[in-house]
Formats: sequence, structure tokens, C-alpha cells
Amino acid sequence: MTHTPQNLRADVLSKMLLMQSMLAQLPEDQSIHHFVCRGLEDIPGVTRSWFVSESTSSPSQPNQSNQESPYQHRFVLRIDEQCYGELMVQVADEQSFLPYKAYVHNLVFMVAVILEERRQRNLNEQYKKNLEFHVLERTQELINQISEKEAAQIQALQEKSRAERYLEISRAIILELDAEGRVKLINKRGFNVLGYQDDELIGQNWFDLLYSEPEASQRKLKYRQIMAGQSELIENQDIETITKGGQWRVIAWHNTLIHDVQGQVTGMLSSGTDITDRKITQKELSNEKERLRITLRSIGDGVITTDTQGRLLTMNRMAEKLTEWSQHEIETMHLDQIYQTQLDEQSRPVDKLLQEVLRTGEHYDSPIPVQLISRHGTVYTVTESISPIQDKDHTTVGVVLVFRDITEQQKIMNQMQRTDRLNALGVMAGGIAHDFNNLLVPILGYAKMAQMHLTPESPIHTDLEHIANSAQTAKHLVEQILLFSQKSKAKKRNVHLSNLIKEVMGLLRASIPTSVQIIQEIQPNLPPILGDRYQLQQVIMNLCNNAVQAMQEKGVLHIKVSLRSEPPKALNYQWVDGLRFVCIRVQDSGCGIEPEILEHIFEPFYTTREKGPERGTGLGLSVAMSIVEQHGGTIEVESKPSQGSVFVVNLPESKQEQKAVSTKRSSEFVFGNERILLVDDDPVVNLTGFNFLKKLGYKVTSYSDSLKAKEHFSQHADQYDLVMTDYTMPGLSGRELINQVKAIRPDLPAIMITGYSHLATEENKLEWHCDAIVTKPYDPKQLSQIIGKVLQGEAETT
Amino acid sequence: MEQAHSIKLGFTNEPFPAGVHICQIFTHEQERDLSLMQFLLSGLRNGERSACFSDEVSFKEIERYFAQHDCSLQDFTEQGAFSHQKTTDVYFENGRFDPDRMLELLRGYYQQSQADGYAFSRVIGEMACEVDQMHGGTRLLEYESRVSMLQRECPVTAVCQYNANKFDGGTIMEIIQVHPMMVVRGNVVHNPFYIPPEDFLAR
Repeated sequence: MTHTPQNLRADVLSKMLLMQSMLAQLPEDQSIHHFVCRGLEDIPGVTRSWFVSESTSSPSQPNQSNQESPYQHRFVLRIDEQCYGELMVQVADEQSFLPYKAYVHNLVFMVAVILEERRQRNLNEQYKKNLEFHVLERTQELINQISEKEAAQIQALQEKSRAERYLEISRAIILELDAEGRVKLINKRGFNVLGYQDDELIGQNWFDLLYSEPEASQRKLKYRQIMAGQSELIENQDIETITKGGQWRVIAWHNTLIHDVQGQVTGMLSSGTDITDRKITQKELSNEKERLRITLRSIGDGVITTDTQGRLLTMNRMAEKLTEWSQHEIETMHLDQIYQTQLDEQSRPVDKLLQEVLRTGEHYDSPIPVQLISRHGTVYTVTESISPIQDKDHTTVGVVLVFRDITEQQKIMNQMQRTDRLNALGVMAGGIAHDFNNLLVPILGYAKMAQMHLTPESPIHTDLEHIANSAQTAKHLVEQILLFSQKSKAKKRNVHLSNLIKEVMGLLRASIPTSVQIIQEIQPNLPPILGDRYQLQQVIMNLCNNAVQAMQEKGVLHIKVSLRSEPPKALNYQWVDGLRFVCIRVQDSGCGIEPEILEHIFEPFYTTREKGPERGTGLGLSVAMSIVEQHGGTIEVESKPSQGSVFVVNLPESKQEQKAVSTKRSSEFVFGNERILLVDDDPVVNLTGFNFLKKLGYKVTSYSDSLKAKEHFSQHADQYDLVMTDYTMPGLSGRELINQVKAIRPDLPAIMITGYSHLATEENKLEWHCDAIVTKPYDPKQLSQIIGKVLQGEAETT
Repeated sequence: MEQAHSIKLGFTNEPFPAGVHICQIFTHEQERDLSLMQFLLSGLRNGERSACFSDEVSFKEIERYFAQHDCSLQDFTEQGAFSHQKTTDVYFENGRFDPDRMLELLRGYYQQSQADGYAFSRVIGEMACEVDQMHGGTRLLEYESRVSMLQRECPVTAVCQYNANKFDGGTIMEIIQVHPMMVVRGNVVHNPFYIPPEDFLAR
């Protein structure tokens, strides 16, 4: 059956062409087989297509693949002698397939061509690889066949080249001079450092070029002498050189002579290193060290450095002053030899601290000040700290000890602490004093009232006198407490201490044993001081009594009063130029005071007189200190055991002019029959007052509740001639009560009673609109006199 | 069905109606990359919304190509004209290949583009060879065939890229059969092996 092109379908041919076009895109042989087989199944008549590889296309399967049956077509993938298997096409409709059979042949051939191309390409690749391998192998053989001589020549050339290269890249200047000093060789580094070009140096005389006269001539002469063997070559030399650009450089030269085969010196070979930067750094370092040294010597702290063995390296001026060792003495000494401290439970020797800092590498600060003992025994209170000195690699290379003399600060601090303690105790004492005064009112009052029923000859009258005297003594003690606590305001006037001293010494003389000699030394024409005469009298009495006690009734009491113009120690306000102090110096020849006692003597209730009838209250010196401080003065004390004591009271001179005031009082009870309203919230005090006033003949109405008292008064205002009220009361205070009473009866006299003696001032009397202020515990007789005066229209304050 | 308009594919100068379904069998990655970038650049320059699904070609690579042609892929992306996703993220959501979901995705993409005012839209993506290991992976040919059917009502222009190094020759022949057009040596030709979806799906 013949098939014409007219029988061919274009789409089928397109498929065949498309398959051909795409074959090359498929990477693997098997992928091509699958693609083609799958594509051929779209050819008319074809039912199935498969590929049989060369190995499987054996005669053993004749029916399946080796023979072409009417329904099975076999296409061998062959090119030249190379076979790539067979393509089997099973057809159901032979007639439909046959027009395309030739095209399938073509397609199969194309597959074979592609497969052959790939095989050839693979082979070429393999050949190429083999060839490259052989070339490499042969090259290696050739290299190995190069003779030793050639290799040696190459090596020699390489070494020469390397040497030249080294010369070029050397960081040192390489210089060769001939016997005349002309430059035979200089490397690149030399040109760079000196700023010359190659041709400017080679052949030129080194000394003429680089040195100006007369140095150039001197150096040339020296060089000629070396070349002639008349002078020794200096192997290492730092020489300052001026570059072509005029810059100053320092070059460290190492020189060797060059000899010819006969041993004749033919020149000099030198290598030089530009050490200008190093020199500058050294100079800066030296300057810095000097600055540091000066700084170190100038600072106010003692500074000592040691190495890791504790060997002393440096110490500054303050360290020299405090230790009393000097820098030039310490060269071979250890830290613990010059830095010695008093050891106790809380401190450790410096060598232990040093070892600890070296071991831990951590800074040490002494938790408490320590006592440094200088070379000659002076004791300084110092704070100390030790730090490791570490180099740039953080290796500890030593320690630095810094210590500060705080002896003076410590003294001031101790005094401040003592003042704080005094203030705290004072606040407490003041609180107690008020209540204590209230308790004394009935004791003193009833004792005096009871005496009024008796004749002075009665033994009970005497007993009552003892009770009253004890109450008075207690009152005096309370006043001292209040003075100390600063609750009692001093009544300051101009006081001439010289007069005061004379008076006090007159009083004292009577009570001091004759075995105690009193020496008075009073500077004439002393200025007055502004103060409370009685308080100052108490200060002198306290100091002198203490002195007499210390001398155990035998010795010398030396009182000296003088003027001083320099500021006393521990002054707690700003010193003003021109200010002068009157000093009372009380010196005894007694037993002196132990150091540990000395620092407590101004504390209240601190006493060394614990036994016997002379047991002290412990308030004497603390009250003295309190009074003196209230007067703007200071007390200084110096004492050593068995060497007596010196107390110096410094009081600032007065700038005021004041008149003295007479304080004479009557010694009799004053009686009356007026009507008195008495108000006190303390029932005992109230009752005491009520009974006392009744005894004096007055008509008394008393209230312990101020509000009720006011209510009563508002209804019976015309029935009273006097109001007496306590100051501190709940509900309505004394001040408020007086104000409200005066609002109703402005003409009614009023007396304020208070346990706070410092409130009893003229200023308060005016401010509170009262006619008198009486402090508790009041003396009944004195009170009767005040009431009498107030009722007569005379104002009074006790 | 909308009237087809001519568009340029970028990798050939020949104009084609919008909504063609083209298969590209490639051997070299450069061939794939160039076609992909030219296709996207051409579409975006023509004002078409364009999407790319590829595990192999990154946003950065496309951006670089665009920059060489004085275009900012970032700007196109910010305007909503361009989107880039990984093939495996899009095709194999939840570890399975679901032709129905993919077709709805394609439909939605087209409709949204229209709604957003894009006259044309196009998509190019490389199928990952892992598809045959996925649940539903045997439905790849069904999917490709139904894409041709969908394009009749949603003429989104689609180019499907297949790596000849990763897919077997037999599979490639089957893939060819469900694409009406294909790229052969840089030319877009009508595919003589193409079997219309009605016939293919009826098998």
C-alpha cells in the first residue's frame, strides 16, 4: 500500500518535529526514552511504544522485541557501529501508522544522534581529563629533571632577590661607607628617614652631607682614625641627625668594620634605627614622671609605694612628715619598718594588709582610723587605704599606701559627738525636770505651811526645815538640769570676771582646807563679758570644787584671768578678727585625769566620786560646759595622770554697756484677804496652792479643769481680785485662760505659774498679759510676797 | 466569555491574546529566570497585575533585574500590582496539592484584579517536583487541564515552568498535553500534543 504526503496529518508531523526539538532538553537517556515512547503513542495507529536496551534485545525474546511482526515495529537506535537499543512500537491500525513510519525512523535516528553526541562528548571530556593529567604528570617529571646546578643557581638567585627584598623592606637603615666615608650602599628605609633620593646619597660623603661644621670635620677626622686603626670603633651610638627637610631625628646606630681578604679595613657597615619617637616619648614620660613626682609630693595625704615584697619604692613629702622617715633613707627598708600603728582588736599590722591586697588584688580601706606612731613616737590618727599597682597586663607589681592625718578632725568630731550626746541627754533631762518641779511644790509648800503652825523651837519645826531644805536642794538640782538642757535662759548682763573671781574665791576660801594654797593672778583692766553672773559664778565654783577634790585637800589652786586675742580651740562659730576672749585658767596640782576618763568628763551624770559623802552628781562639769557654751565660750582641758589638770574657760568680751540691778527681797510672809481664783490641772499642786493661800488668809476658789474655771469666772467675774493659773494645761492653756479672763475683766491682775524656769522672762510677762510669772516649785514665802505686790499693782517675775 | 485582547509575554515579541496557558520546559536555570523576569516586567509595565510563585527565584533577584531596567519592584509591590510567593506555600498548603483550591485561588486572583481595576492579570510559576509525593499530586494534569478551562471565563495569562532535570521525560510529555501552548527554544508555539480539557478530563 502506497502512502502519499496527502495522507499525512500536519498535526502528527508537528508532534514528531516538536519531539525532535525537545529531545536535546532532556538530560538523561532514560528520560528521552520515556518522552519519545509517550509521544509516539499519539501517532495514529500506535497503541503502545517501549524501549528495549541493547542488553535486553537478545534473540531469547524473539516475539516480544527482536522481530518485527505486522503489529509490532522495531526501530534500532544505531549510528555507525554504535547501537543504543531499540524502540518498539505496537500498532493496532497498520494502515494509519505506516505513513508515519519513516518519520518515526527519522525520530529514532535523531535520538541515536543525540545519544551518540552525548557519548562522544563524554568521551571527549574523559580524553581531555586524561590529557590534562598526563601533561601535569610530565610537567612534574620535567621539573624533577632540572639539574642540581640549575636548581642551585635558581636558589642563589632567589636568595639574592630575597636579600635585596629584605634590604628594601627592612625597618632598619642599612648603610655602607667606604674608607673615605662615602656612601656605597643605603637602603630604602635610609632614604625615607633622611629624606634624600637614591642619587643624592650614593657616592657622597656621609659626614659632609648630614652634618654641619664643625661637627662634620670632627666626625670625618674620627672616622679616618677608625679606618686607620688609630681609634676604637664605637659599636652602638645614638646620633642626632638633621634630615634633608631640616627635621631633627635620633638614630641608634650599630656599626661594624668591613675588611678585605687581606684583613685591611675598607669601610664600615652600619644598621640604624630611627628612635626619634621613642626619645620623644621618653622625654614626655620623664616630664610626666616629674610632674607626677611634684604632684605626689604636693598632695596633703601621705603616699608610700612598695614592690610586691613590701620593699619601699617612693614616699611623698607628707608621708615623710608623718612617719619622720625621708625618701633617701628608705631604699632597702620594708613598709612595716617605717609605718607602724597601734594594734588592737580592730586593726591589723600593715604587712598583713599588704599581703592581703597582693593576694586578692582588691583595694583595702581601713574601716576605722588607726593610730600611726612616727619614728620618734608622735601618734597621729590616720585613715589608711591600700591599693594594688597593676601594669598594663593587670599584673600586680606593687602596692600604694595612702594615709591621711585626721588627728585634728578626730578631736573636733569627738567633741561634736560629745555635744550631741549632751544635747540628747539635755532634752531628756528637761522633760523630767518639769514633772519633778511639780512634785516639789507640795513638799516645799506643805513643809513651810506646817512650820507656820509651830514655834521655831519645836523639834518638828527643825525636821520640817530639813524637809524644806532638801526640797530647795532638789529645786537647785532641777535648775542645774534645766541650765544644762538649755531650757533655762540666762539673764545676761555685763559681768567683770575679775570681780566675780574675787567674790567666788572669797566664798571658796571659807570652805577649802587651809592646806590648799590659792593663787590668784588677774590681769588688770580686763573688759567685761556679757553673761549671767550667777551662772558664771556656778561655773567657777564647779571648776574650783573639782580642783580641790582632785588635790585631796592638799596642793595649789592657781586661778589666772587674762585676755587672749587668738581663737580658742573648738569654737563653734565663725571667728571674727578683733574678737577677744577673757580666759579663766583653773589649774590644780592634783592627781590628774586618765586619758580614757578625760574624754567623758563633760558628759552629764559622769562622776569619778562614787563613794563617800562627797559623791558627785555628775553634773558639775557638764553644767559648766553648757553654761559656757550658752555664753559663746569654750572650755579647754589639759591633764595627765599625776601632773594635775588645767581647765581654761574662754568667754568673749562684751560690747554692751549695761547697768547693774538690785535684787533685794523681803524676808517675811505677806498675808491678805482678797479673793483668788486658782487653776492647776495637777490636783496635788492645786490642793497645795489652795491650802497655802487659805493659810495666808485669802478666799480661794480652785479648779483643776481650766474650761470649767473659765465658765465659772464668766458668771462670777466680779467676785475675784486675782487669777493664778498654771501655764501648761489640757483644754484651755494658762495663756488662753488669762486672755479670756482679761477679756471680761481687763483690770483683774493675773499670775502665771510654770515649771519651765526659762519661760519666766519680762518679755513673756508682757506677751501673756500677766502681772507676774512664778516658777515651780515656788518658795511659799516668796510667793506670798509676789501675790502681795501684784494685788498692790506691782508687777513681778521670779 | 470576555473578548481577548493582545498582550506581550516579554520573552517573545509576538502578541498573544490575554488568558493563554503556556508551558515552559527548561533545562537551565538562566533560561527559567530570564523568561520569568521578562514575563513579569512586561506585564507590570503593561499595567497588568502580576504574580510569581517560585521556590527558586527570590524577590531580591527579581528586584535586581527590575532595577537594571529602571523599574522598582518595591513600588509595584506596594501598589498591589505585584506579589511573590513560594510555590510550596501556595500549591502545597497544609501539605497537600488541591486542584480545586488552586483553581479557586486563580479565579479569585483574576476577579479581584478586575475589581481593583486591572484590565489584565498574569501569573507565572514553577511547579515543584515534590508534587508527585504530595497528597493529591496525581491530580496535577487534571489541574493543568482545568486551568485551560477556567481561562475561558477568567482569562488570566499563565506560564507554567517545569524543570526537565527534575521531571521524567514521560511526565513532561503528559504535561505538554494539557498546555495549549509551549515555549520551544525561546519561541511560543501552539502545542500539537495539546488535548482540550473536555477530552482530557473525559479519559
